Amino acid sequence: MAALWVTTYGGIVVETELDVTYAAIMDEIVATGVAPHYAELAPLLQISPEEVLRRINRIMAMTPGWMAPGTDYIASFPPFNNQPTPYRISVRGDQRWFAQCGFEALACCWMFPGETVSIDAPCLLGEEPLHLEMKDGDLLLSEPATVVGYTRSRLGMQEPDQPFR
Amino acid sequence: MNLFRSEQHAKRWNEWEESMAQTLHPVEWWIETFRNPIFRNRSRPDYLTWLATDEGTSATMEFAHRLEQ
Repeated sequence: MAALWVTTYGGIVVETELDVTYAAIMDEIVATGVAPHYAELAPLLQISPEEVLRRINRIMAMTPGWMAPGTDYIASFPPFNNQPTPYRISVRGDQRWFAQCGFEALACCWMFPGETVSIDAPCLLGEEPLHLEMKDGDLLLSEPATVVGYTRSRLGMQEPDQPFR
Repeated sequence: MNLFRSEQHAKRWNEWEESMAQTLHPVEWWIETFRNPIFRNRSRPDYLTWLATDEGTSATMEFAHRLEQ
């Protein structure tokens, strides 16, 4: 679990609270591949579980993440996803993370500065899989070289009840 | 928001919608799109505060404009 952030933005209390909570969640996902339960964050942030959950819900309203429908569990915290998706992310050969979607997979490298990040995904048509390697925003390898991205849904998360996009 | 082996594969996908064909780009184009600071800065300890600054707002607008290309 990440250490408690020392707040240094005293003049903007609300934003600072959310910043600290956001960073604690992101740190935990980067470290473990799994989003923490809100009760796990309570001792770290030194606030009640209810207050953590309130903050998480506010963060979800501000960012393109979402809770699993009907639960208090974090489902997606971009660029990562707490549920498995087709987009497996590996660092140093350790496949511990899933990206929220194919596009966010391309942003995962920013969470691992200086590391080579691998993206492995099945072909949605059932043919050979895709494999990409990135480092600090640069594409190091694309297999095949013809990979493209496409979406049939609007970018920007207008579908809060949809666990996958 | 998916990746495909090629443009032909994307167009053969059973969920392909021609009305969204403008979102079909080489992966390099999408990588450039996701170099935007709103993605690069997610590890900042003040990320949400930063998003609301002029810099963050400008980056968000830049991202939106790029998607309109």
